[in-house]
Amino acid sequence: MTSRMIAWPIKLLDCCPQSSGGGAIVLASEKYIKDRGLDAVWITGVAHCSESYYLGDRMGRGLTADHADAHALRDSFARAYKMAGVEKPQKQVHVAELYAPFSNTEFHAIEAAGLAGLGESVAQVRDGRFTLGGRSRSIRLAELSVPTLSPSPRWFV
Amino acid sequence: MEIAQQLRGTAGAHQVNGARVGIASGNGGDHQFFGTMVIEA
Repeated sequence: MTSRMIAWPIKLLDCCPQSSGGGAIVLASEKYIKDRGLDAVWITGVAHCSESYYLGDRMGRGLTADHADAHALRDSFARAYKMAGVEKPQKQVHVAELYAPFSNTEFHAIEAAGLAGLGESVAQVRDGRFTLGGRSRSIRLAELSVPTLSPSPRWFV
Repeated sequence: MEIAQQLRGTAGAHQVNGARVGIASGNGGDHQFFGTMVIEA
């Protein structure tokens, strides 16, 4: 909180550092995996959604824009969940890796993923619900580690 | 990648016990493009 201001209210340590990296995954058909007895995890839902380019056009669901909500991310999760048969993410999801390049976007992501109600994520984060080893058991998210690609390398779900 | 490790039980010190269903998200642009995934063990 004592780092210098970048653009209110975002401070330096609220921002992800400039960096470059990469990762790779190998995708294979179910038949290929099973024929060879390979150890794999399964993609059961995938989706993509985009906002309009101009911030002023992101009006959300109502008559006015609320940039605290990530509508396109919420829609993307809804589509992926539907494909995977996830109806109650707070109960069915065990671990989450949510992209959050700035501190505030962690809250967008948590709520858009349905892991907390709208406007509830801040209090729940402070309460330790999304911390590895945290005390909440009802959704088992405290036992779930979510390393967001965020400036703060804490575990987060 | 982290989710895959978690579901395979190879996440090491930050392994979440019993993780069977994971989600991942990625953004691009000016908080404009969003991709999400559900992954299961």
